[in-house]
Amino acid sequence: MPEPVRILLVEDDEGDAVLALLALASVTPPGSVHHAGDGEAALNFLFGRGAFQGRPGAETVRLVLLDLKLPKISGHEVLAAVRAHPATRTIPVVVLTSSMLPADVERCYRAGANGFVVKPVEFSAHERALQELAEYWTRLNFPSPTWGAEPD
Amino acid sequence: MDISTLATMLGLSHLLQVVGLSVQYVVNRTYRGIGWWLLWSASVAAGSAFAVLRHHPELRLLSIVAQNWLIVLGVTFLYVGLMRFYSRRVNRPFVATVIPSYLAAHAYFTLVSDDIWVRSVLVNVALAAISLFTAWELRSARTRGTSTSANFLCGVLLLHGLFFLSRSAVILAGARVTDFFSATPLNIAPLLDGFVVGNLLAVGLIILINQRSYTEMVEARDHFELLFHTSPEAVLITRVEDGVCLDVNQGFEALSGYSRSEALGHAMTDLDIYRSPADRQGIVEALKEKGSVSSVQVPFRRKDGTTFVGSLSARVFSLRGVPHVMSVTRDVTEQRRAEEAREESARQIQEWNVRLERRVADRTAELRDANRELEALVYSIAHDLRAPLRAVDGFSGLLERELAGRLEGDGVRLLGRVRRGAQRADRLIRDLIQYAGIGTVPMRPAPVEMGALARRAFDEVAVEEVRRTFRFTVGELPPAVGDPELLGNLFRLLLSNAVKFSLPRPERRIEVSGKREGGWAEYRVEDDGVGFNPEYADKLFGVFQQLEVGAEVEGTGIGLAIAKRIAVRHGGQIRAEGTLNGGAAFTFMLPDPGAGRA
Repeated sequence: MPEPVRILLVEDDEGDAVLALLALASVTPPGSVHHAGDGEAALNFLFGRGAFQGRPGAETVRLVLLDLKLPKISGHEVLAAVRAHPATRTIPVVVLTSSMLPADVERCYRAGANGFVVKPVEFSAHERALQELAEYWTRLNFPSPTWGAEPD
Repeated sequence: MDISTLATMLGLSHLLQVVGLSVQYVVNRTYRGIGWWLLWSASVAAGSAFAVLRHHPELRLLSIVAQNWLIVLGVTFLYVGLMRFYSRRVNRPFVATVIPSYLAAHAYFTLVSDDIWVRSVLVNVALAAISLFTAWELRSARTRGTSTSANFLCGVLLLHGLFFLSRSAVILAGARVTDFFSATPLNIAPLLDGFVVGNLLAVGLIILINQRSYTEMVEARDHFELLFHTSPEAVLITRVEDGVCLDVNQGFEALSGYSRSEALGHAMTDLDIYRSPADRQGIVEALKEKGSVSSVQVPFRRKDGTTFVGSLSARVFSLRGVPHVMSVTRDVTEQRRAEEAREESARQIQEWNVRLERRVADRTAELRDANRELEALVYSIAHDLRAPLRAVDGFSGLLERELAGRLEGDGVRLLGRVRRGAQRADRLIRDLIQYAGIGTVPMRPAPVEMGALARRAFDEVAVEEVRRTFRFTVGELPPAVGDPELLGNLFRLLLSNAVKFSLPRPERRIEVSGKREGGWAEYRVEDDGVGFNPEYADKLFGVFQQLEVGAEVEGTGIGLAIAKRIAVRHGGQIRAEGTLNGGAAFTFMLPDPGAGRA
């Protein structure tokens, strides 16, 4: 029985993705982090569509780390889609981005983001940020009981 | 000849004079003096009546006094009336001495000492004197317009006076004076004189009135004609009924080009003077309705076909019982043209203004859009630049960790350089973003306790071990109103600078002080650090303008630029003082919130 996926990392930059996965690897069981390279892949994974037909990731995911600048479907759109669907409405989404545009921060919180974290450039700060996020949301935080429930 | 008959006829003729002068008095209210003449004729008439009463023995003496008094007073009234008529002053000394003396003397020689001879001399001399005096006064009072009738009156009065003068002479020479009713030539003569002179005077006076009023009428008409013809405005008199022109002035000839003879007797419609017949119709309607029109602007056509705009005023009046119109027209073409030009230029200015405003608005919008685009670009670049920087620092970090213990000294140092370079580039990008963002984030002004803000900022810019090496003092700072976040940032920037540039020095001192002066609240951050060359004081606040201070001081060079932006955003300013190796002082000034109240 493989480890259920707890963290969905939505990140298009390969370097960032590698660094993030490395950072998370030391605080999470193997296989519990899924990386989606763009918005479409992220939604397919969450809703069990396309390559993930019949295996909706939303059922086990406890944290979505979402970059804003994504090809195909942008981070804002992914966030909107997640919040619009009953199955994913209560999944914690933390925006993880380089953007410091106040308008972006405001927009994300209005759309229902649970957090907004600016990726540090410095290696260890970046590593620490990711690890703390994973620790908090997957260990400390108590998820909503209606998680993954079928729509009424 | 019967004296009584003569006296009666004289009385009757005097009565007729009274009637004639009464009519003049009633009809003519404009001239003064006619009432006095009426008094003259009435007095003389009454005097004649008393002459008849002499028949009654018991009334004889009274009648003699009354008759003579009234006759002399009557002539005096005539004199006063003539003076009044000519608005001349009555010779008061003459009237006040001669008349009362005569009246008193005559009464004395009748009632006290009944002496007919003395009485005769008295009355003849008095009448001669008054008549001659009146003739003399009238001669100097007469005007040119009344000279004929005045001369006539003068002549009559002169004859009258001479008559009584000669009669006085005859009596003084010893002629026998008999009773009034004895038909002697000496008695008959004055009655005939009274008859003739009285009528002549009455007629003369009436002619005088007529002559004066005629003269004045002619003068008034001449004045009017002068006015009519010298007016530069076109004046036109037309009959309402058929529009036929009765009179035009020279102004009309000049303005319309039609001569007087061409216009007279023709209807205005024949002259084709109105460019639009509807205009004329409109004026006629208005005149029918209101009786007058005022300053109506009408386009006209001259005889030679050229056109002009006239301002026309007209009024209906009655001429020999027939309604006529007098119109006055002024050429306002130039005026109109100037007005139109003025309106046109005003309209053009208005249009330019609108266009200019629109252009300013367009440019402002463009600028705003460009600014927004630029801002978006900055953020986008920041985002895009930070990812590769993170990769550089991240993978160098990983490498460092992987190769820990296996790397030679040079390798460690080189990797460290790579990572420091990446981190420094990242700091630059963040500072730039902050600098760009100062102007765009909305301010949240609040009263700020600046001393506490400075102390907290100092805690934030240096760790405890470093802080302990400083003598840091904060004096009494005036309160300010501003964005606490931005002002805190301002203190942080200045204090971190002060700390940074003090580190190479053994003596580490930072003093924050403040004062209120001239509507400003001043805050000063002073240190004993490495200072700067005062020549470059102005350059400090530019972006990337950090001065060369040596490798031991690190900074991106944007801090002071940000500090300046914050001060300026608050309506304040910032300045730097310093010497090379002699410390530096940065002073920022904010508008003093308490200044208005003092």
